[in-house]
Amino acid sequence: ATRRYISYGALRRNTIPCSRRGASYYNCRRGAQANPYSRGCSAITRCRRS
Amino acid sequence: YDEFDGHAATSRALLQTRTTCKEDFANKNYTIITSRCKGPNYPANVCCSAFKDFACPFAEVLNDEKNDCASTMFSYINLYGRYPPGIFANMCKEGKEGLDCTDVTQSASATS
Repeated sequence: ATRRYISYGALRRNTIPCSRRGASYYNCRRGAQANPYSRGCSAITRCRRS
Repeated sequence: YDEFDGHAATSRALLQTRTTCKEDFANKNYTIITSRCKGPNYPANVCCSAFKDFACPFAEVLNDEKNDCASTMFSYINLYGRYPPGIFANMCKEGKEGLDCTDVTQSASATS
Protein backbone atom coordinates (compact mmCIF):
# COMPACT_ATOMS: atom_id res chain seq x y z
CA ALA A 1 0.00 0.00 0.00
CA THR A 2 1.17 3.50 -0.73
CA ARG A 3 2.08 5.46 2.33
CA ARG A 4 0.33 8.72 2.91
CA TYR A 5 3.45 10.88 3.26
CA ILE A 6 6.64 11.78 1.51
CA SER A 7 8.95 11.82 4.48
CA TYR A 8 11.43 14.54 5.22
CA GLY A 9 14.11 11.90 4.95
CA ALA A 10 13.26 11.53 1.29
CA LEU A 11 13.09 15.30 0.83
CA ARG A 12 16.53 15.61 2.38
CA ARG A 13 17.97 14.05 -0.76
CA ASN A 14 17.20 17.37 -2.43
CA THR A 15 19.34 19.43 -0.08
CA ILE A 16 22.75 20.78 -0.99
CA PRO A 17 25.21 20.42 1.89
CA CYS A 18 27.29 23.45 1.03
CA SER A 19 26.73 25.24 -2.24
CA ARG A 20 29.06 28.17 -1.57
CA ARG A 21 32.19 27.98 -3.65
CA GLY A 22 35.31 27.98 -1.57
CA ALA A 23 33.51 27.52 1.74
CA SER A 24 34.07 24.53 3.96
CA TYR A 25 31.54 21.74 4.22
CA TYR A 26 31.83 22.00 7.99
CA ASN A 27 31.45 25.74 8.25
CA CYS A 28 29.40 26.82 5.30
CA ARG A 29 29.67 30.58 5.63
CA ARG A 30 31.41 32.97 3.33
CA GLY A 31 34.93 33.69 4.49
CA ALA A 32 34.58 31.61 7.63
CA GLN A 33 37.39 29.50 9.00
CA ALA A 34 37.51 26.07 7.45
CA ASN A 35 37.81 24.03 10.63
CA PRO A 36 35.67 25.52 13.38
CA TYR A 37 36.27 22.74 15.88
CA SER A 38 38.37 23.30 18.96
CA ARG A 39 39.47 20.16 20.73
CA GLY A 40 40.79 21.67 23.92
CA CYS A 41 43.59 20.17 25.94
CA SER A 42 43.16 16.90 27.80
CA ALA A 43 45.64 14.40 29.16
CA ILE A 44 44.02 11.47 27.37
CA THR A 45 45.03 12.99 24.05
CA ARG A 46 48.56 13.51 25.39
CA CYS A 47 48.18 17.20 25.13
CA ARG A 48 50.84 18.99 27.09
CA ARG A 49 49.89 22.30 28.56
CA SER A 50 52.41 25.10 28.98
CA TYR B 1 15.08 12.76 15.66
CA ASP B 2 13.57 9.67 14.17
CA GLU B 3 15.78 9.40 11.12
CA PHE B 4 15.66 5.62 11.02
CA ASP B 5 12.78 3.40 12.00
CA GLY B 6 13.25 1.79 15.37
CA HIS B 7 12.18 -1.66 14.29
CA ALA B 8 14.21 -4.49 15.71
CA ALA B 9 16.70 -6.03 13.33
CA THR B 10 19.05 -8.93 13.67
CA SER B 11 21.32 -7.81 10.86
CA ARG B 12 23.31 -4.70 10.21
CA ALA B 13 24.25 -2.91 7.05
CA LEU B 14 26.58 -0.09 6.22
CA LEU B 15 24.51 3.05 6.45
CA GLN B 16 26.37 4.63 3.58
CA THR B 17 25.59 1.84 1.15
CA ARG B 18 22.35 2.20 -0.77
CA THR B 19 20.71 -0.36 -2.99
CA THR B 20 19.95 0.58 -6.55
CA CYS B 21 16.53 2.02 -7.16
CA LYS B 22 14.20 -0.49 -8.79
CA GLU B 23 11.74 2.17 -9.90
CA ASP B 24 12.66 3.53 -13.31
CA PHE B 25 12.95 7.26 -12.68
CA ALA B 26 14.65 7.74 -16.03
CA ASN B 27 11.31 7.32 -17.77
CA LYS B 28 8.73 9.32 -15.88
CA ASN B 29 6.47 12.17 -16.89
CA TYR B 30 8.38 15.08 -15.42
CA THR B 31 6.12 17.57 -17.17
CA ILE B 32 3.83 17.15 -14.17
CA ILE B 33 6.35 19.33 -12.34
CA THR B 34 8.06 21.28 -15.10
CA SER B 35 4.85 22.55 -16.67
CA ARG B 36 3.67 24.07 -13.40
CA CYS B 37 6.71 24.91 -11.27
CA LYS B 38 8.42 27.70 -13.19
CA GLY B 39 10.82 30.53 -12.53
CA PRO B 40 11.67 33.19 -11.75
CA ASN B 41 9.50 33.08 -8.64
CA TYR B 42 8.94 29.33 -8.21
CA PRO B 43 5.81 29.85 -6.08
CA ALA B 44 5.85 27.45 -3.16
CA ASN B 45 2.26 26.28 -3.27
CA VAL B 46 2.39 25.59 -7.01
CA CYS B 47 5.78 23.86 -6.93
CA CYS B 48 5.10 21.75 -3.87
CA SER B 49 1.70 20.70 -5.15
CA ALA B 50 3.18 19.71 -8.51
CA PHE B 51 5.99 17.85 -6.78
CA LYS B 52 3.51 15.91 -4.67
CA ASP B 53 1.42 15.05 -7.71
CA PHE B 54 4.49 13.54 -9.29
CA ALA B 55 6.16 11.93 -6.29
CA CYS B 56 3.28 10.67 -4.13
CA PRO B 57 2.68 7.55 -6.26
CA PHE B 58 6.25 6.56 -5.38
CA ALA B 59 6.14 7.61 -1.73
CA GLU B 60 6.88 4.13 -0.46
CA VAL B 61 10.13 3.67 -2.38
CA LEU B 62 11.12 7.29 -1.80
CA ASN B 63 10.73 7.00 1.95
CA ASP B 64 12.96 3.94 2.07
CA GLU B 65 16.31 5.49 2.85
CA LYS B 66 18.13 2.24 2.13
CA ASN B 67 17.85 2.83 -1.59
CA ASP B 68 18.80 5.74 -3.80
CA CYS B 69 15.36 6.39 -5.28
CA ALA B 70 15.00 9.85 -3.78
CA SER B 71 18.43 10.99 -4.95
CA THR B 72 17.80 9.60 -8.41
CA MET B 73 14.40 11.23 -8.69
CA PHE B 74 15.72 14.62 -7.62
CA SER B 75 18.57 14.34 -10.10
CA TYR B 76 16.12 13.91 -12.95
CA ILE B 77 13.82 16.63 -11.63
CA ASN B 78 16.71 19.08 -11.54
CA LEU B 79 17.89 17.89 -14.95
CA TYR B 80 14.57 18.44 -16.69
CA GLY B 81 13.45 21.46 -14.72
CA ARG B 82 16.77 23.29 -14.21
CA TYR B 83 15.66 24.15 -10.70
CA PRO B 84 17.72 26.02 -8.13
CA PRO B 85 19.62 23.64 -5.86
CA GLY B 86 17.55 22.25 -3.05
CA ILE B 87 14.38 24.05 -4.01
CA PHE B 88 11.91 21.38 -2.95
CA ALA B 89 13.64 20.44 0.29
CA ASN B 90 13.92 24.06 1.33
CA MET B 91 10.47 25.14 0.25
CA CYS B 92 8.14 22.21 0.81
CA LYS B 93 7.25 21.74 4.46
CA GLU B 94 4.04 20.34 5.86
CA GLY B 95 3.16 18.26 8.86
CA LYS B 96 5.31 16.34 11.28
CA GLU B 97 5.75 13.28 9.10
CA GLY B 98 6.34 14.98 5.78
CA LEU B 99 4.37 16.04 2.75
CA ASP B 100 0.80 14.84 3.01
CA CYS B 101 -0.20 12.57 0.13
CA THR B 102 -3.77 11.87 1.17
CA ASP B 103 -5.20 14.58 -1.07
CA VAL B 104 -3.26 13.39 -4.11
CA THR B 105 -5.30 10.98 -6.19
CA GLN B 106 -3.49 7.92 -7.45
CA SER B 107 -2.91 8.49 -11.11
CA ALA B 108 -1.44 6.25 -13.75
CA SER B 109 -0.38 9.32 -15.71
CA ALA B 110 2.76 9.50 -13.59
CA THR B 111 4.29 6.87 -15.84
CA SER B 112 4.75 7.83 -19.47
